[in-house]
Amino acid sequence: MHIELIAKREVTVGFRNPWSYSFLALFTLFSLGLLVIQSQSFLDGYTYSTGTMLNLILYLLPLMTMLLSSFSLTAEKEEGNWQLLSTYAMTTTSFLFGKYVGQAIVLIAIVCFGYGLSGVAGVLLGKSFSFTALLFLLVFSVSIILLFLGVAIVIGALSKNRWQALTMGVAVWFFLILAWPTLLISLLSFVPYTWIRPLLQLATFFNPAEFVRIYSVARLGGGSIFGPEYYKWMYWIDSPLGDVIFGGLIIGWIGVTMFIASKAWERR
Amino acid sequence: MQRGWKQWSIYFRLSIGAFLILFQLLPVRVSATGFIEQDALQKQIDQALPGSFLTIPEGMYTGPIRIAKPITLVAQGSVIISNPSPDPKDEPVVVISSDHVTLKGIAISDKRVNSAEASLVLKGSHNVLEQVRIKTMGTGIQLREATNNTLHNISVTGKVKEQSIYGGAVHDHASHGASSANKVAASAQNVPARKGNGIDLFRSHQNRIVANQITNVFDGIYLENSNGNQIVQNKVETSRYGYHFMGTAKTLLQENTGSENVTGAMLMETTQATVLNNQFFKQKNNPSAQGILLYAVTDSQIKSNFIEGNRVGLYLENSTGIEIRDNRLKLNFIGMQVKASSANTFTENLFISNVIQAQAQDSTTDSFRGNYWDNLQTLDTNGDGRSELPYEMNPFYLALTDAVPPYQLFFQAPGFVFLENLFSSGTNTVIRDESPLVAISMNAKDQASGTPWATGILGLLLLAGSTTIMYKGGKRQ
Repeated sequence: MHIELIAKREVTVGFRNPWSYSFLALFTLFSLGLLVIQSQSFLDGYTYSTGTMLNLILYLLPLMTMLLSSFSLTAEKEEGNWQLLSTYAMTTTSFLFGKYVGQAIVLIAIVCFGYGLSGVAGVLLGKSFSFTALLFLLVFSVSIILLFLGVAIVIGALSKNRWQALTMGVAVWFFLILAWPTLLISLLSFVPYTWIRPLLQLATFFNPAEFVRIYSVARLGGGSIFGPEYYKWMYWIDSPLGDVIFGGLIIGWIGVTMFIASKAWERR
Repeated sequence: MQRGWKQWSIYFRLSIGAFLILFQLLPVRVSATGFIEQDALQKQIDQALPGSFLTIPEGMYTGPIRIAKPITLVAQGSVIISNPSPDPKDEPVVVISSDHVTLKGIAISDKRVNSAEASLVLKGSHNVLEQVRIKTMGTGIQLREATNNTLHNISVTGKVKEQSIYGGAVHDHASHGASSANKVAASAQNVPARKGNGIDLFRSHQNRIVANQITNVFDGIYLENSNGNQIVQNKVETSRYGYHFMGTAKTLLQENTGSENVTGAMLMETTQATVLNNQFFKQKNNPSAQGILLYAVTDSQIKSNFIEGNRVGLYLENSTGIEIRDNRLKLNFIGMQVKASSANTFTENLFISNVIQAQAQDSTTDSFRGNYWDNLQTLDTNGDGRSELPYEMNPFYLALTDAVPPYQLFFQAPGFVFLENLFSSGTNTVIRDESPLVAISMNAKDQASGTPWATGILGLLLLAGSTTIMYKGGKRQ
């Protein structure tokens, strides 16, 4: 009940926030850009275009999610709303889940607007995405949003104000997206050779950007590119259970991050 | 006493009667299953004069059939020669050990499991096999020290079932375990059946292998220590290697197709091969799949091939003196990989929408000129159709995954692309195409067709949904 109230309030506040509209403009421009890339080439399966698109989305969406949503949480602290809300009989968990659901609706609406516009524009200009490509990009983007929203809530809970949240958000983005392979390769050079693969596999589960990317590439039919080391993963992803496992992984990741966030929130 | 004797004589007569009835039944039963005694056909062949023409009447025959003199055998209607027993020690269904034999229009069905010999074994020269359909649990046709033969319009279908597309790696352990466990069991039925090759040449030269179809075998067309063979217009599907050459010379591979194999064409320790106008599609499901693989190949030509949708389009290692010209590498995960090779020339190849166009390592004496790379920002200042900006093939991924294969997981990760550029831009170790082509004719870049209306409706739905949420959500209540 409280979750629903908080979520509704979050959606209202979210769509009055000018930041949301600047991100909306940015993302719409970006998805129109994807349309131009696509029209030059092919979008069936794992190709140069789809590979490039996945990477562009992986650069933009996690950062966008983490900034928008962690700001929304720190705003509650800075503006004193939480002090007011905490006088009511409401648990931290329902407050945070309410924020999560509200933010998810705002972000997914932004992404849907962007893809919707480029879908329509594509048809009008005669250079459209294929139906499956559009749907694929949408599902991929929504998964990224749902996973990084959990991280964003943790960042918001840990930070005192927007500036802290901004610093932490960018740091986490840099760590998970840009520096990830560099750090892993340098760290794994200190462990025995036989440990590299299991440690790398384990690490992948702690980086939502990586497991969503690997899952998506495999679903596009490109799983074999990761080499014989990972055939078992590809075998699982290709099996009917693959989607269920992936869904479970997303829910698990959200659960864990929200648990950490509520502990951090209560500590303050 | 007398009575006893009578009884005995009745029993005796009865048993003779039963025996006679059984004897009468026996040939009836054989013809009921449709098999005509092997002797009938074999006798005909044995009695024929060399050079004579024989027609085989319609029907089912049991092997083995041995042809040891130059005759022409043509099937009339549906002729099936088969070996219904799985015993690997049985003879091949058909053996040709003479020269100048022509065999046309038969079908062979071979149930022998894990036999060393093929369903059809050819040991002579100047023989012609035409319109032969083979269904086998092992190898289809073996040519052993056979020269100047023609194999035309033959189909070989492997009947051994694969369990999974990741099979090679997955059930290796399983089959090892099973085969050691079953060593005691003499019966061949319990040993897991291994696939054989489609057409297998050993020390066989100057043969022409034209317009054959091969499906679900180990290697489609396998050549070992065989020279001067021509392999033209064949088609190999869902096998391990489509065309596999080991230690061959002067082989011509022209206008063939390979699709959904582990590797389309694998050339090893081969010299003076010509690979021309072939098509290799969808060699991508296996984690070690390629369109064409060259290892220790020298002085050969790879020309005008169409290599699309493979895991790696063209892979070259330890090879020298190869001319790679006018190939179209499209929509592969990796267009081309070149490793430890020297003195090869790559020109006029088109690299279109491969996830990674090309990677090269330790191959500084190779020459790359005038290829087309569709993701290159070109700049042509003097209008010669060649870009003044080079195309660089990054060696970083190859070097890294060569040392530690598990790092293949970083293939095209956003952070890896970033790292790659940090490491190798502007260094001397990078292999580059100094004068890439600026443009190609548009028909090479044809578009994938979509379903614009479905996309439009989905777009509209998304747009309408999101604006409604925004409007309703943002409204003051």
